[in-house]
Amino acid sequence: MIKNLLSIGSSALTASQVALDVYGNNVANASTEGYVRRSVTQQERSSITLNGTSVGTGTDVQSIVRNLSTFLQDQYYDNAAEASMWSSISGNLSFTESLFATDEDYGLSTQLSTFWNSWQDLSASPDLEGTRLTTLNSGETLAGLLNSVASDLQQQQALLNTGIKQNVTTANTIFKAVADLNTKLVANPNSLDLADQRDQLVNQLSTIMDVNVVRGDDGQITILSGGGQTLVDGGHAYELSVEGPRAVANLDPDSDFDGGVYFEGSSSDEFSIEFVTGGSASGGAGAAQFKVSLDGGETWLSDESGDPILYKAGGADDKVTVDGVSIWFGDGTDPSQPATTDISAGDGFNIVPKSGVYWHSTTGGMVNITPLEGSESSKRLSGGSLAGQLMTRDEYIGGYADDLDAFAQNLIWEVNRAHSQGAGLSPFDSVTGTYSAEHTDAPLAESGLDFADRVESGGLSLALYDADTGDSLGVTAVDFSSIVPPGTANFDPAVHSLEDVRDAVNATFPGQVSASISNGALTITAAEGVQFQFADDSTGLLAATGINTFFDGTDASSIQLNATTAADPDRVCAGHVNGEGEYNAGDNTTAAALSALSDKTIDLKTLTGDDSTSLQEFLDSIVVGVGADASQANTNALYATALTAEVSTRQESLSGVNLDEELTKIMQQQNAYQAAAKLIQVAGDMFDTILSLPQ
Amino acid sequence: MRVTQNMLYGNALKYMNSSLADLVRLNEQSATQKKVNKASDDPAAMATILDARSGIADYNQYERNIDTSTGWLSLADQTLQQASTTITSVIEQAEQASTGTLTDDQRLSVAQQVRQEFNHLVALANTEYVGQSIFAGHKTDENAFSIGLGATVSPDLASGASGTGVLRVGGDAEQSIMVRFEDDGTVGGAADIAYRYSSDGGETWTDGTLAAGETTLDLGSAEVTLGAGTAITAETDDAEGSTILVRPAAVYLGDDEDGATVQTYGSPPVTTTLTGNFAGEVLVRIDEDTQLSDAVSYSYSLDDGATWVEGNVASGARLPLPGGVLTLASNGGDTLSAGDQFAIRPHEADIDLEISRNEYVTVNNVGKDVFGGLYDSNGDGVLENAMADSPDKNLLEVVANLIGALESNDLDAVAECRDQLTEAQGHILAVNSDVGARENRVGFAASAVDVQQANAATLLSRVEDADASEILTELQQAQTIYQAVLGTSTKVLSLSLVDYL
Repeated sequence: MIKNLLSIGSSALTASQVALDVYGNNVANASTEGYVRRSVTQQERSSITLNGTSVGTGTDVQSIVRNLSTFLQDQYYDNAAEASMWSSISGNLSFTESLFATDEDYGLSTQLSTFWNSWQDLSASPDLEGTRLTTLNSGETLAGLLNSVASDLQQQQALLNTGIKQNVTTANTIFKAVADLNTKLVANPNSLDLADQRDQLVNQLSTIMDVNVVRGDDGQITILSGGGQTLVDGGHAYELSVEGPRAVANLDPDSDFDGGVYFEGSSSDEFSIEFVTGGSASGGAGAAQFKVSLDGGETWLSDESGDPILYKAGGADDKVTVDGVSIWFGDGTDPSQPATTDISAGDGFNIVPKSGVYWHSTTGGMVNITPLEGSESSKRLSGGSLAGQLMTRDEYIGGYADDLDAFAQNLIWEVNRAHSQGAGLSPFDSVTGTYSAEHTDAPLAESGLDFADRVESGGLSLALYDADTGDSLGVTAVDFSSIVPPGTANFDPAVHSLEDVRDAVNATFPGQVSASISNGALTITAAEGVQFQFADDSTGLLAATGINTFFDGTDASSIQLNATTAADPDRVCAGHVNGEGEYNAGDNTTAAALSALSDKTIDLKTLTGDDSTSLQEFLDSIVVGVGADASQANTNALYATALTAEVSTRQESLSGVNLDEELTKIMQQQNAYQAAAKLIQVAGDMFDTILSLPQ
Repeated sequence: MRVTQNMLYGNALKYMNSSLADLVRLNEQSATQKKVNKASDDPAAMATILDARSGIADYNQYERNIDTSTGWLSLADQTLQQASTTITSVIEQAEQASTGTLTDDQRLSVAQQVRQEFNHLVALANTEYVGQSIFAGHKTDENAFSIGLGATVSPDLASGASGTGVLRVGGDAEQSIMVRFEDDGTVGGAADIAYRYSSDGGETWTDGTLAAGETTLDLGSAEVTLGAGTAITAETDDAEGSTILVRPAAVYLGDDEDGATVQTYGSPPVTTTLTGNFAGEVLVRIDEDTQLSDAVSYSYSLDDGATWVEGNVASGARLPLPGGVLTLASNGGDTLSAGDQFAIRPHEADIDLEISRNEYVTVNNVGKDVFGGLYDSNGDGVLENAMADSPDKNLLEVVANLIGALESNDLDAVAECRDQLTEAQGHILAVNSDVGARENRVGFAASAVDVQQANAATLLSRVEDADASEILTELQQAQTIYQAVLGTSTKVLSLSLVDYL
């Protein structure tokens, strides 16, 4: 009886001591990051029967547990991934937004207005050198601003690449650490601090990427990425890596193709290629044809009528260019040699002309998990700051860069086409184009000239002048009849090559004007005593070869003034060659045509289709689009962060330490301890009482 | 729900942060006085702002163009008024000289005054606005007129289509030179032709001979070139025969806007004729192979082929276009091929400035259509009357004729010139009222642009500008909230059970 009492007392003392340890530890770790409040569970010892009644025998400390909800944990992983993805996007975009300054004194939109208005000023006083210089300056400022925004965007992409690499390294470290902890926890399942550490690591991982956690019975956890790739399995850690541009073949099982796909250039898009018809991989009439998708095969690049655009597979000499990336097919090992086998319909290729994040499988294969815009594929990253950085780099900034390039390209073309119709204040002795053709003997449409696709059939004329007197020697159309076949007088970009243009000029103006080609650029030179101006050009040939143009370059990074025009303000075309074959100082026809471009609705050619809008509206829509994306990302980030905070609060409510509460419990245990001691004292007294009984 | 220490501290931080963020935002709005400072503040508003700003930039540009236009037009207006005043004075001189009460010497001194006024008129026609000739069409860098010599001739010596008559007058003459012929004959023919000339109104004569095969009359300081084959009639007692009076003339050097040329691209076997008045270049494209006699499908472009107006069909090979009609006629064939193009290049002289959206005003004038004078219309070196259709309106030629008439004491001719002067003055006044009408248009455009600009500015302000008092109120509110958060946080955080143990 009394012995039982002692036993009860001692068990109570032990339990209180353990509990005090635990609560004390709670107090000590009240603000320790990742610490989960512990509590003690006690159980009554099994009772004994005394005199037919059941009597308790004391208490046992059953376990010390962490107060944690795995349900809330899983919710936290989801929300934290979403929140950190949007926070990353929002933070990056607020910087991007500052590049597209909307201030009224500077910024792209303002500068474009200024540029158009400088042509108005020129049209009011076309003979003043000052207004010509102003026009050149405003063109240069606009071009410079486009250059700097484009390069700032690239720089931001480079910064993001650094961040992506750091994140991938951190994620790999976490995989290894979690695998390590898994192994340790199997050996020592009751180690609560290891479990705390592991949870904390997974929390950290969930801000980098979206993960799912499967808890095993043996105390181990398996971590899967949102896309289903295993990241940690028990004691084994998988690996992610950042890989450079690459192309992968995805051939039809029956295909004989043993060559390779090659590419040059970079883009923020991914190209999925699917062959529609089989055939030769080296161009020509029997070439295999393929379509291209930028969203993993959901939609295909289409022409105006909505049909997929079919590209002909070509070798190193006839590459297909999509969005600045040249694609060609060749020998399996030597890109310069043609492929020896045919491509079959159904063959697919995936080209990633940018760095991306890849998951390494146990078999050594790599799976691209870089987010892909517009794709429904669930195998890609879709959360965490890693996805945020990749999306900011590719979808957002990459998209703005593409838009800005499309804007610059259309601006260059429209301005040059209008400008090349005009005439400056002094006629040419000689002029060389700024754009080079790769294939000077191929029809112009396939010459590789940057603006070849915009050239149309028609004619162009030169006005000749006596170099001494300035008298008009007449206006004559360049006659292509001498180019046989087809022997027609008009220029046709599907037939005539740049060399044909040269020959036609030489045949039309023997002894007066000659043409030559060097490094793919066309030069037109007047004979001694003769000078020339360009009267009109319904083909766009001058704008495409860069003759008598205002801008040079092809996109936002390369736009600049045509060096010939920039060097001599007289070369700015305000006027034109009129019906009398004269160009006059007060003529403002071309200046007016250029200023009228400001609100002219044009067919903007972009990668994903044509858009009818004015250049100003298009530019404004880019600027506003960046702001709208930033604003939306910010809203999403706030929303997801609030959700995460809510889950976090609920978990904290469970696992956090309340000092007052711990203090109360400590006091409770203190009292219990005192009571238990009292119990032992009572038992002792009872022993004494019994021992002191007279024997 | 359990509340933990971490939650207490975390929430206190969160509340402080968010109310401080409000303060910062309001502070920015208060500093810039704008509620939209970057696109993400309000993307929809930013779209409106950018649009309004580029609109305002355009309106500012229109205002500048309006100022320039007003400068050109009011200068033209004043110049034409001065010209009219000068004409009135010339008319008085002519009136006086035509009465016959003046002696030859007095008439000569009137002629001297008229010469001065002629020079004045030419100077007016050469008026420049900031260095740009306002009556020279596009040739703003040159004088519109230069003073040279011209000839008043008997009808048989008027320059004809076959290259006969007086072709050129060269050299110089202080006083008008009268020429009479003493032989019938043919210029450039096999026989010499004797003539005499007088530089002092017919008082003294000098003899000369136009040698066989020659075409140029030597008149001392001046010379007159006649077309080979021109028939000459000798003077008789009853008739004057062929006469030439060399007197001053104003030659128009500027731009005209008469007619247009067509450049054919491709090789259709057709000739082209233009009717109408084309304002600028028009490019025409044949869209389908066809015959002249059939329907012709064509497109045209007003921007050199950048954009096309498609789907036009013409019959009778007459292609209607903005500004006129292009008529095609067979020239050894009837076939038109798809892709054949015709570039219509009008003679252009108008300087047009945009004074409000898509509204243009012509700020200059074509001097020869205002003041007349002589003009080489086709570049063959032969000067013709610049207003051949209505020579009475040709102010500079009428005044030049008057000088010749006065200096040759031809009273009938003086009287005739006097009547013509009235008509010429009427023409100048008509041009003046046209310039005035353009000035009015510019004035209307100026008020319209003012209103549009004010509207755009109001719109911009409404979307972009912050309401100062609203911001101050909000700022006050945010400040109070922040203080409250600080107060309550410190109170809550300082509570602990320990204090009561």
